[in-house]
Amino acid sequence: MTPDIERERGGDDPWVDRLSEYLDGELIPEERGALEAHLVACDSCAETLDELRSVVSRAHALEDAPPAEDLWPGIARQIANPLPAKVGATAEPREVVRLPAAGRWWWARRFELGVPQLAAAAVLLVALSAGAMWLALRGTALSPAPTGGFSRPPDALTATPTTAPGSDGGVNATASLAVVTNPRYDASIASLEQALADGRGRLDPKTLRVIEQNLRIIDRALTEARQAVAADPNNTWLRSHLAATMKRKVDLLRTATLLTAAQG
Amino acid sequence: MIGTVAAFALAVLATGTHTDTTITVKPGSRLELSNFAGDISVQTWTRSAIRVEAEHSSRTTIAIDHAAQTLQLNVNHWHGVPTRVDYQLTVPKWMALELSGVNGDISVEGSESEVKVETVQGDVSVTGAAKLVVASSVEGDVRVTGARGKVECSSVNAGLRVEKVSGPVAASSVNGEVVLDDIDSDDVEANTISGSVTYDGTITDGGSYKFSSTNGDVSVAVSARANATVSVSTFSGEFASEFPVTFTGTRHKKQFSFTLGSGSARLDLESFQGGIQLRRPGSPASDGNYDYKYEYKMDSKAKEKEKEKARHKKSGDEDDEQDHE
Repeated sequence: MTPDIERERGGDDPWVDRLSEYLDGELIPEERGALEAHLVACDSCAETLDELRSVVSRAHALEDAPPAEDLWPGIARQIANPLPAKVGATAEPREVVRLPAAGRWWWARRFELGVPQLAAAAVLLVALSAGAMWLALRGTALSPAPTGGFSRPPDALTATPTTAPGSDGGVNATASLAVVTNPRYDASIASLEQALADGRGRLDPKTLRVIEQNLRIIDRALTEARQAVAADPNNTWLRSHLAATMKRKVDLLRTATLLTAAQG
Repeated sequence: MIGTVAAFALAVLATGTHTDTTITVKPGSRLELSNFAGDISVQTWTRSAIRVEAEHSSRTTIAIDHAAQTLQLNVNHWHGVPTRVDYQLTVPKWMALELSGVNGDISVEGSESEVKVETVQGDVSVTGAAKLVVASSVEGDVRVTGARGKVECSSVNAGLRVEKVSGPVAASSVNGEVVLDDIDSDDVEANTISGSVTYDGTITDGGSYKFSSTNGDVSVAVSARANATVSVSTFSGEFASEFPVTFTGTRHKKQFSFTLGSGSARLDLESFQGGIQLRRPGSPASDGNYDYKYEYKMDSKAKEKEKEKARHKKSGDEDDEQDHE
């Protein structure tokens, strides 16, 4: 549809909706020429184009400099094997973890959206990437705190950690607390929850209800898993179960926040 | 995508509320379609052409953009306000498809190529397809039938059903059951938080099978010829088997493993607070009230460990007695 057709149908400024295509190089030469002529005379469109360029530029910068690593493998490793690494030990090769298929797909399409959606997606990118970077930089601070140095969050534990006879009670108790109070995970969740809160207005109310209902389901599962680990801190399977449940929350929040961007 | 697509657009102006056009496509082309509201129904034929039928508002136009090997169906909404568009597409069997929607069902039948479908408020159904099937919905059911190749499917708030599939399968839901039936694969993973997981299919030597639920039952069919090392883990659930199994090695109260045949495949069964059931192929999943028989047989290493434990306990008791004296 050309802008002329739009105008005939009563549109205010038909070129506003074409600015994204212009930036993407998707206009045919005639349209491109017409839009450039329009930009000379229309301050509003020129200003919008500048803003759009700025958003795209920021988004490109983020794409070109992704977080140095996906955070989840580190978190999972810490949960599964929370003992501090030996000083001087060789660092493990970094793992790459895929986003869930749905997430990848929405992510990949973000630049095909309209102006408001594009802006929203870029803001989301900034929020998530900044959070991820901050977390990545904090990587070295993630080993379990010394015994007694942990503050227990209000909802973290309802059961008292116990230790098996003959086990290293101090280390395991600390490890258990590290699992249920992993600051890296908490920060990651907080970042995603904030992104979802910021974008919740863009989600269909029914979808939002479904997302929130399922987040509550996962939260209940998390609480139960944490209690189980606290009661049996040496249990490797319980730890891995907790880690898997924690990842489910990350995955769902990722999906939800990407939906807010796509549905903006 | 920004700055990369040299596209030419073939505008298909709608007449009334119905669009019907057929265009020739080059072999190897793929189709991309993103719909906001409305259903997408895809069928296949042997022609190298795509027929686009769509029901939509007269103020909406559908554009077919062709760039390199990708064909995109785009909708130009009047004033940018999305309206409902229902698509009926007929595409070549060989054409790879990437379809997405927000509010609507998506179905694909008869494809012999890669299919990726995703919706938010709607059901997804894929029958056929090959190489790779990615199917997901947030609120709707997901069903994949007869695919040959890798299948990845997910739903947040509904169930998944994968049937007659040959190839690796990954299925994940949060609040829904997962049913995998008649699967021929050496790599299967299925999980859900709230719901049951059921598997009927091959347990291939050297294969990897992992099934888990947090609050539901896990039920897996295992043939009498299967060779698998079975790992069972639960927190407050029960394990049951329709056939006798013998545990070996050390046994935790709720986590243990045992071997069937040579133990070649790996079968991990986990349910945090649901039941875990082994049954024979074709036997229906039980509601949990099944009689199960199994015995625990320690190997020599485990026996030695038990003895060591007993010795340790005894010496500890003696020390305690001395302390009291």
